[in-house]
Amino acid sequence: MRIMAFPEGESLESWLNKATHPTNRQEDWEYIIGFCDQINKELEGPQIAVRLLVHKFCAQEWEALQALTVLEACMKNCGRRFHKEIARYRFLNELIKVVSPMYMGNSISEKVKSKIIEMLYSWTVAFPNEAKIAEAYQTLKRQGLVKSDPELTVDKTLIPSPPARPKNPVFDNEDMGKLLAELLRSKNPEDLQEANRLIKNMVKEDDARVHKLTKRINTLEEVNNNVKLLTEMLSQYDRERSSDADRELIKELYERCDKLRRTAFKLATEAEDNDSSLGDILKANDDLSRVISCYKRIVEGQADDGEAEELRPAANEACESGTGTLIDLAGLDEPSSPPPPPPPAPAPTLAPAPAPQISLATQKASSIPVLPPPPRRLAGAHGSQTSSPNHKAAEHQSSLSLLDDELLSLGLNDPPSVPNRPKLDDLSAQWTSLQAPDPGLDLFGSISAPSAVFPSTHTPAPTSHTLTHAQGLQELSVLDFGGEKSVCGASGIAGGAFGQSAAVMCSAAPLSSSNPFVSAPLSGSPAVSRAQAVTGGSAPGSPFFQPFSSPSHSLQSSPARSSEPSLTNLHVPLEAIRPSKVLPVTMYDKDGVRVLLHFAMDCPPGRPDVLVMVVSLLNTAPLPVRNVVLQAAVPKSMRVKLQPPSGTEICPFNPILPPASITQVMLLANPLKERVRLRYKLAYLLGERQYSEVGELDQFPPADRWGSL
Amino acid sequence: MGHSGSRHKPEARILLLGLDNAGKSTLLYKLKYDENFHTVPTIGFNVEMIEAKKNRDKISLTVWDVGGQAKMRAFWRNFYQDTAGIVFVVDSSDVKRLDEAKGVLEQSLRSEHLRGLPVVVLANKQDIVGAATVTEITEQFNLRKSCSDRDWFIQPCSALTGAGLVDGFRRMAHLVKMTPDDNNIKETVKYIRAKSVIQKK
Repeated sequence: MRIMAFPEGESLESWLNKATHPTNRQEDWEYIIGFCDQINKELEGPQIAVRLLVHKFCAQEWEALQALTVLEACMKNCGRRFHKEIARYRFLNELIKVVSPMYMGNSISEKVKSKIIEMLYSWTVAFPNEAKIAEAYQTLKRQGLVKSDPELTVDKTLIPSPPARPKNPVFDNEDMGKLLAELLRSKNPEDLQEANRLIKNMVKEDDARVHKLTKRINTLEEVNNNVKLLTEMLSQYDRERSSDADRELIKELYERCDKLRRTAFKLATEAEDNDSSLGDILKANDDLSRVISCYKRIVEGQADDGEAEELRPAANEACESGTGTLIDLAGLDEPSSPPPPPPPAPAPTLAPAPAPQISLATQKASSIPVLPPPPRRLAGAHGSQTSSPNHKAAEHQSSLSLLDDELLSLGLNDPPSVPNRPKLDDLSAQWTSLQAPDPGLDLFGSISAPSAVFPSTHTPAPTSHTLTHAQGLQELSVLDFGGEKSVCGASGIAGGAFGQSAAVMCSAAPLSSSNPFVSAPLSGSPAVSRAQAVTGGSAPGSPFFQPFSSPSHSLQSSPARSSEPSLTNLHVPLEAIRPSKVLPVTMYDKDGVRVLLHFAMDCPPGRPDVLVMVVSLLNTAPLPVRNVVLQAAVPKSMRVKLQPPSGTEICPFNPILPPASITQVMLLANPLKERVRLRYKLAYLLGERQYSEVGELDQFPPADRWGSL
Repeated sequence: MGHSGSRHKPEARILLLGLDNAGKSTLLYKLKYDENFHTVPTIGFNVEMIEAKKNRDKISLTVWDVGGQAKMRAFWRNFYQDTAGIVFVVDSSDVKRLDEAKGVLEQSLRSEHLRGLPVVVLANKQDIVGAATVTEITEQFNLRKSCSDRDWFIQPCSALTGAGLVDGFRRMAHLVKMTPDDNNIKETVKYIRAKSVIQKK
């Protein structure tokens, strides 16, 4: 036996020439199997092989016989693709030409012709459905070239194997065994030679079978390994983060799988006679197709133009639709692959714009109510005057001259000077009509008028509450002078005249801050007037004039004037207040609602003239207290300021809980250190009932002790 | 002197078996031609006729050398019919395969066609250092038991040197029962020899 290397890339023709070479002493199965393998490798292998074989059938006997052996081997090893080729008229006609004396039959040896007939007959048995093969055989029979159906003993194993063939079909074949035994017992040398040849062929066939089986097993194993590896690489593939080495490896694995798919296809073609292995081969082919599709979607799909974020979810979706295994992997990739959603964008810068506008609107609205109320208060004030005609006339002239000065300054500083003219007219009218009324009735009327005004001030928005509160203070200041006038009325004409002038000045004060020189003398007058009224109740005439001419009082009036605007800027937080040892004063106590006034130990820093107090409102009633509003007024030489309260509602009294309260800081400026008299108005809703109470306090610590209470 | 040999020489069909690479083919041609041929693994079989003496008469032994590879062992049974004796060749130097050889021998002897036939075991390759002795092989093969129903003998030999070969086959000649045969086997042997591929070493 000759052992030769089989170089790769051998052509079908070179394989066949070696397999059928005339100098071969016996069939060379290495070349025969090589020829079969090459047929399976080439796309048109069967067509080319059949054409090459046909030419060999007309060669000299030994070469032709070997060619027929090769043909048998192809029928057994090259599957359906080859069977289709020999079932064509084109091939069958060539066989008939070799056998028929009408063509080349006469020049062909009997051995070759009989072998062809045997093979044709064996094919009719092996492929009952191929009508053309049967037709060709019957044609030869009708022409008398076939005397009887040949025996199939020798060639039986060369036809395709039945499905249920045992493990070692070649060696276990009983018919072959008997034939071999008979040949071996024969004394004919040719029979022994035949026996030897038969054994060699059977061994070759078994070798070829084992070789094919091993090849299939190895191919399937390679398919599984590559599919598994490529699937794993694709599941970890990231277009942006995968390294070039990984990309190259993935591409190489893809190409290998693509090549293996063609190999698997060939295996499927060859394995038609073995159902179990065919199933395995088809499964391998499906796995290859799936992983190749997955590769094209994930890797090659990413090459398209477009946003990466939009493509990545699509790729994951494709994987999920591909295989059950990728679904699981995709699920694992899901948390990391989508980028976390960006935090919500900040509100557009235009959004805050409306807020300032609302604030501005509120401020404008809240500033409007400052102007209208003063005219009414002036009317009320004048209504309470009573005096002798002659003194009254003299004071009136003096008053008119002062009003003229005031109106001039108002004209220069503020448009509302026009409404003041009606006030002058009202003043005259009131003065005339009020000479007759009873002083007591006048006093009561002046008190009720402010009450009527207060409810309307509740309508504005809460933001304007402080301004409304300031308005209330102004109202009460005027009211206070009204009260003072009644006292002056009792004392004589002179007091009434000064009271009137003071009232006019008071209404103009907020608008004349730019003319301190003009305002200062006017403010000095009421201070003197007030002091005289308080201290000299028993001597109406002489005490009144004496303080008015005193230079010391004029000096004192300057500091009072300068202190007015400072209280507005002063703010004392509740936390900074330390209670004094002085007992609190009860301002109000009715129907379970109680208001207390506590005094602070210290004065605000740098303000020894200011007394700090805390107003507490308690509710011991079983009903809720709501809409609480407190307003206060003091003599003109002093200033009072109420800071915003801690609340405006108190729950019904509950014996289990500590008593609730409303607290409010009140500041009192008394630069002249005079005796303090404070008037207040308290409004609230108890249950469903509205309350409106007025009161006055004078139990204050002496002014000279403020700061060390 | 009497007449020259009888016209019908007694013949016996001898089956030469053993594992692959035991040295069957080398041994056969050494015996026949007293030359060392370089042989390839036997696919199929070789046939040679050798002469031996049985008592005072010459006899012909037709020796069938059948391939010993696993796939060839499946064909052995086709050669059993008409066999007169079995020569089983063992590679004494391949100690690792002695058990395998024993199994193969026992399986063959179970054949109905070989019942009661004499067996000669040739312990080959004794020229190699470390080869198992005939005593060791006898014990490992348990020949006394496996061949209890037949005549048997074990002969040390070396196919390369030729030692022990003639003695082995002489012993076989003594043990076999002769059967008459025609002269046509000579032509058969010559024909097969001409077809086989054997290279001279």
